[in-house]
Amino acid sequence: MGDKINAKEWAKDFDLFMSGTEVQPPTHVSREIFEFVRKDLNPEYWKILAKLGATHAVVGSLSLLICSQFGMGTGVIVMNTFTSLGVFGCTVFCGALFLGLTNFVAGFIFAIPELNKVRRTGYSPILLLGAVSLTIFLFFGANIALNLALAWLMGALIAGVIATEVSFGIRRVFTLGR
Amino acid sequence: MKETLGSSPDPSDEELMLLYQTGQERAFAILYQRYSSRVYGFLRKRLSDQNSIEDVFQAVFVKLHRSREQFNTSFTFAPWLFTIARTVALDWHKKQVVETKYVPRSEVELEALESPTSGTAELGLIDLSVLPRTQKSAVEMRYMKDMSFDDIARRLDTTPDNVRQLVSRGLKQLRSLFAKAGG
Repeated sequence: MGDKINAKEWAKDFDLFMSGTEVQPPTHVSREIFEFVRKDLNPEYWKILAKLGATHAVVGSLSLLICSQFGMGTGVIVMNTFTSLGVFGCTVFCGALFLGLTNFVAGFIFAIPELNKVRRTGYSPILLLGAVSLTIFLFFGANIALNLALAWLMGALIAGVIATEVSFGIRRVFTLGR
Repeated sequence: MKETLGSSPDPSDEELMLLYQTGQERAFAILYQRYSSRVYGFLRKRLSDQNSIEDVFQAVFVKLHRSREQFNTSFTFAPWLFTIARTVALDWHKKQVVETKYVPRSEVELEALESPTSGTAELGLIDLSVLPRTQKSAVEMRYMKDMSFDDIARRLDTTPDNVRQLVSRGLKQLRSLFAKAGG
């Protein structure tokens, strides 16, 4: 009974909403709303970097556990597979795994505007994150030649971009508009 | 004038919502252009003062923005937006009712209680028998007979500091009774 009355009231109000007098909202109110939406849809670059960095600190560290190369994990499958691809191939896939996993996870935990920011800025946060990761490896004593460093970075960037696009695509298909 | 966005020259509201969900600011701008005056007109009929209309209007679009990803594009946009507008307006009304109900009892009446000169009439409406005997006497003498703490202390054969405590505890108890009674 109550539901019927509510539904009736709702329908009456909706008619009023659709056919009632239209009144332009004050300009300053519209301006404030647009400013709010604009800011929210365009998050600050440094915030994206910080969030991606934090995600990478967790996911990147966990990814080291699956390769015994770094002395953190015990699994040899990944290490054996990658090393069988030769030094160059191993380096490229190492970077790809390291950054790819982070960006795949980020694709699901970031807000859509944040992912858009990553995409709109030419995926530069991924490149920056790769460069920072490489610098940290060097700082901790890794001995990497320039060409291999570039190969690692290339693998990291390509996998980062693919991972972002794939996770973004999955979200678009399975969540938005549904 | 026809707006162009995405692949369609004249996208439907639902297509615009999908574009808005993917972060297209322009899609929001078109939806706002299509519906803002309708929402504003609706709120003007429901609310009385200008500030409230503006606040609720902003809240409607903030809520629309925050829930945009929950919109199912297989449904129609207008009823969804209307439901948001109606809910926000109703919530605002409820909040106003709670505030006007709460303020006089807890603040105005108790302020009156704490002021010996203006609290006499209100105090007469309160049943002081709920208080322990000494507290009741102290409160009565302070607020109904307008006596000083020193005079009350002499009458009750105690110190003025103790009287202050008795009055304070009495008021505290009355406050909690007000709160329990739904104030």
